Amino acid sequence: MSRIPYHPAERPVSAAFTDCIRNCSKERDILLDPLSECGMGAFEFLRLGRRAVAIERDPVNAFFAGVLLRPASLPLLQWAFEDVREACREELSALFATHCPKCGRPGTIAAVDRENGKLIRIDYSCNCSNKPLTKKPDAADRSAEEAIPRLETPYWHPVLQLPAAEGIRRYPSDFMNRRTAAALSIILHAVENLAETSARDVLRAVFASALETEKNSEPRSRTGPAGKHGRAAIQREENPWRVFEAGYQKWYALKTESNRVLKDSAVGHSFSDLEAGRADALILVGTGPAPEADGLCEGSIDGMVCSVPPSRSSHDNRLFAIQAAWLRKAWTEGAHGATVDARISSAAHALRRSGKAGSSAHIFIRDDTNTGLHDLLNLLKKNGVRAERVTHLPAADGSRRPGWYCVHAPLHRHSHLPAERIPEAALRNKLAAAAKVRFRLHGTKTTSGKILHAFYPQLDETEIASVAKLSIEDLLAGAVESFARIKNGRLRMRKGKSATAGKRTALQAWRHIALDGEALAAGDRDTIRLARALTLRRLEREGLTAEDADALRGMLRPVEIEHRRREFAAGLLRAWGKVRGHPIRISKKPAITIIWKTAKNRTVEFTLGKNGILVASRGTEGLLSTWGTISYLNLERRSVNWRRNHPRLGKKPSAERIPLEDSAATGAEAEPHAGISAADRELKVIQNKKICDRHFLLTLELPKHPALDFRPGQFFHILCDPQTREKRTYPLTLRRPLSIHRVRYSGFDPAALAWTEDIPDEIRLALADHPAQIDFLYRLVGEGTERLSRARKGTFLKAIGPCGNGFTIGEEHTAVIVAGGIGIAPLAALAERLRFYGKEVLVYIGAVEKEMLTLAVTRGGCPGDDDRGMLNAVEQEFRGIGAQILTVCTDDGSLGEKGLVTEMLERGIRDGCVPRESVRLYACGPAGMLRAVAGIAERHSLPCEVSLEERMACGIGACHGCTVTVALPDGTRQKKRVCREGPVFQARDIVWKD
Amino acid sequence: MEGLNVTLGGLRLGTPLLSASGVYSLDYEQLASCAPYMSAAVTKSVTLHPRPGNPEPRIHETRAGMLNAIGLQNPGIAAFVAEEIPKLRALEVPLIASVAGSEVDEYVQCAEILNAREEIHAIELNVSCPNVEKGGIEFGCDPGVLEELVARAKKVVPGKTLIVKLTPNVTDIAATAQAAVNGGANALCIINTLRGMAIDIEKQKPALANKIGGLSGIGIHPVAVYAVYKCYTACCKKHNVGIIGLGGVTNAGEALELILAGATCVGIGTAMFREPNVFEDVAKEIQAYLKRKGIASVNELIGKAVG
Repeated sequence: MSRIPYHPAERPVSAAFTDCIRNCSKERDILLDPLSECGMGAFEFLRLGRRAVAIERDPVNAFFAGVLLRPASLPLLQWAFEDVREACREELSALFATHCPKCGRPGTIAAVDRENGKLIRIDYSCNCSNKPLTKKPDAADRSAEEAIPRLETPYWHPVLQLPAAEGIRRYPSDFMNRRTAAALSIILHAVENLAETSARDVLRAVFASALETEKNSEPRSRTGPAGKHGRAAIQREENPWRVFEAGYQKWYALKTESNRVLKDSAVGHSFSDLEAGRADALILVGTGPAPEADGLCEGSIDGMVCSVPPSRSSHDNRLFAIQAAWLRKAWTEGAHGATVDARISSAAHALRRSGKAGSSAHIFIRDDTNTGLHDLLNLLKKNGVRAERVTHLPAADGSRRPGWYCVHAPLHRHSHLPAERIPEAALRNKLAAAAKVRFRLHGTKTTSGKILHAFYPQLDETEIASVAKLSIEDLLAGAVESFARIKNGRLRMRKGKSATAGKRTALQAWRHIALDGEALAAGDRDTIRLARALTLRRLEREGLTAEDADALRGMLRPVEIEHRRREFAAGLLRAWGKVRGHPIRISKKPAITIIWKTAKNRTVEFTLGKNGILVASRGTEGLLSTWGTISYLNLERRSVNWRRNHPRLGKKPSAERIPLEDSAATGAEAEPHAGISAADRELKVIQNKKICDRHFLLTLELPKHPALDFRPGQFFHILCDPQTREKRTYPLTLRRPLSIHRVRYSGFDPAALAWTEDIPDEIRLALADHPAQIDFLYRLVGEGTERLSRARKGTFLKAIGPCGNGFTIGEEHTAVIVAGGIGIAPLAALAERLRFYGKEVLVYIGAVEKEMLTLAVTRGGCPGDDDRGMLNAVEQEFRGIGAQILTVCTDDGSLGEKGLVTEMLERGIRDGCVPRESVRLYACGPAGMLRAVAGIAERHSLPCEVSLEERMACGIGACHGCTVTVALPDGTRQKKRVCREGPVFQARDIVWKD
Repeated sequence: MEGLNVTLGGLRLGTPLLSASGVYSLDYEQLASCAPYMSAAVTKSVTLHPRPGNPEPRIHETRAGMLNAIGLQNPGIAAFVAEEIPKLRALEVPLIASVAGSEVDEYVQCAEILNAREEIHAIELNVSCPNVEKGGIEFGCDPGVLEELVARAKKVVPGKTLIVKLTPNVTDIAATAQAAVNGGANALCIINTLRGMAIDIEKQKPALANKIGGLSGIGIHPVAVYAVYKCYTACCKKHNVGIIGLGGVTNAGEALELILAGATCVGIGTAMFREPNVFEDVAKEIQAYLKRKGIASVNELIGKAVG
């Protein structure tokens, strides 16, 4: 997007802003720019086919926005240009002209002193002296002062009230120049969009030169050069901006067609025009500190992208004050107004209130000192908006700082007010809305009492009696009551842990209600994702048809909704119990059972078990033999995954999910992550567990600064000479590289991983105190691993790391993970990371034989000989991550399917189990497998990353011992170091050995 | 450092410890504080033209060391001068550039280019690489050829220390040492890797793609001590040519053995893979040894055991 020069609200020039819009919304979405300034954001929204709501408190800026968004008209632009320039001069002349008593010529006021509203001293400058001069106000000055309120108000007159501190009424001309130049540049921008080329050229030349002179000149004289462009030819009455001015406190609508603005008109005070498509943009101009947000309907906005005005440096304060001083009202009355803080608070308010469930906000802030960002985050937090993630947009020259940051915050859903700030009315409204949901059980409307009976038959008689009397509204009222109590401070917060705990549980209860209410509302739109769990391929194998799949899908859908409803009811009950002080024991729910008759007349019974897992409980003989459990519905992690599975939000990549480093395309070229500094550390062994005869799980603890920004695929170079009781035979010459299998942080939310892509050093340091545990999964293959397996708990191992580049998270929506044998080790961490970014993760696991299959690594080891148990365990392992296992296979068929994992992958792609678009493959395993996967990726034109294994000596790129041949884009071949430029390479780059 | 200052071929060094060619990169500086303890950094051997190196696998760990067959992978002298040297300048220690080639002219041209760079304090002629088909070790095996090569190289680098790295894969290392000294070498680096081979019994194939490789690591230490002793007594002492003892040093004891056998400096290579901090440990242990024995300077120890 283009940048408006000289305007205080400088906008990000980068494409990041535009990308953000593209990624966080789809066409026709209504996007909000609550800090619209001169309307560049709204302009971008319209340009990209979105609908826009722009809030701006400064009518001058709103005028600019109008110019930007409206169809350009040559005469009007000319008029606007002349009017802006001349009015600026008039303003200056009128406001800052005085008479120099020394030389008798006109001078310019720099500052004034007042007492009781009367002028007592004037600082001014005059051509006769280089120094600032002072004089006592004379009669002419006083009369000019009195005339100011009576002057004609130009259409753009700002009514913004800003701090008008003494001593900052200086330098008006500086501000005026900026203002004029900004207006001109915006007009210039509009000119650029003109249809007629010749007219555009003429105007561009005129405005560009005028811009140049305006920038340099400092208008002093009362009589500026007369307009040359026929201003007289245009009647003021024709000026639509007059209309605009008249209506500037109302909604303002603009309509576009194929990205061109067609017409504008003042419309009613509601969203109906926008929502009905009668308008494409609303510019809302407000005057108070934060009134604009109240005009927005609740839940009306699909997303928000905005940039915060520059940090409140003293320079900006001065500018704002000058702006205020420039206003006659402020000048004469010294009114005080809102600061940037108040405006951001207002934005946050709008954001929390008007965002649709599941939508997100992206706030850009330019921050050179790193204080602005922190202030913004604090401010957002204070206003109940939780920043989920901050990304850093590097400066154009590639330096990490200074630059723009983007704060990503989920709207509405995760937003919750601190207890002391919850407005009771808002809560009541919210809960009342939730209460409108009626339960429908077994096809009939049901009262809450019946629901309770149906769902909680284990409740004792008195409980049922008391609970059944309550309506849902009563339950909700109970929740409201509790918050009212918290709000009024009747819950004594300082009394000790219990009171705090009470507050916390009540808060959680409230959030639970809100959450379930939303889940319920969204439930009807969700489709059951059974198709993937029961792939067509598997159906075929089981002798079932596509019709069966459809039928099953249809039957399962109400089950899911039912489940959500039940969860909702449970949430209400829990909340009620907490509020009333006698907790309700929620017993085991009765199973929902569905009988499914297949097209081939087979009867299968499914039971909805714990955590939404559907279990085929009867009639499964011969059916789904290896998959006793269908995990189509994983509500266990619903709170995390719900939004990602949302039909609208989850289906496309979003900017916030894409790592900043654009190394996805150039994985092989990528330098090691800038934030990582490998170090040689002595790490404590937390466990070194034998999983089975050949596999071990080693956990090391990083006490501080746990290389927070590790990437899946990176490795540690570990010295495998543990301190053992046995007598040492000989020291090992080389270390051993072990991939990071999982990283577990303690002390803070795993969601803090969200920060790992690119975070300011301050935040990283703040998090660095938390220890992390790193899991390594290894197989006994030789002397090194054999020695490593003897490392005892509590001893220390030397390790360099994290080394290497790691996998990249692409824009693709689906990730397919192909693991061969011990190659599963780095892929578990990858699956976790991919899930965090909202990708759908499909997993293929293969091994030579059963014993080589590395399974169930963190859930208590392999369950011995029980094949089915092993499969269940491995599925649980990945389900815990949120990934879905498509196939487990062994070459000899000793477990799972028989065949090579690459054959399974090929078949999966052919049968449609793996989508054909927006897919990225990740593979790790033996070289032959990687080569085959690379071949598959090439055949289907899918991006593919493979993690290579090579013997390493130094592990840091010094010795060139671990190289791989890579084809460069120019066709030449080069040896790249696996430890340094790898171990992850783009599969297409690798020259495979024969 | 106190008691550890030595002079090698006119080069004043803070400690007798320096890195071996081909194992050091700036990353070690970040992992461990090499700089005050490592008196000079020897770069990976550079050739006139870029070399891709040998096929993989290139590395095999043995019971007491490792085999490598990297095959002189390097970006060529032009890229080395343009990209590597500026980075290495950040180091506060002198730089020794290692040079290899398949023809005498290549050595000479490389040396000439490097002579123009003031960051390079010394040039090491690698005439002993066992892993390339052509050149390398064949120069180091024939005393006549070696003498000519050294003499021509010395001509183009008159102002810099010229080091010749000798191979132990000869019948009489003293003869090649004598030839290098005659040619005008200011110092000798003894020894390069021993030729070796390992076989993977499962695959029934050589463990290295190159079939043979160079053995380094702790196992070759006695060979290095012997070679240093032999060269020191045969010619170096007489001509006052310094020796960089190199081979299997992992601790101070092994370093001192080489010094007592006649080495002025000790190179550490393979041990860095295991322990990036090895320089600091060895330097401090040598200082402790000197203190314990009441010896003022490590210079007093050079060749002491072999008189």
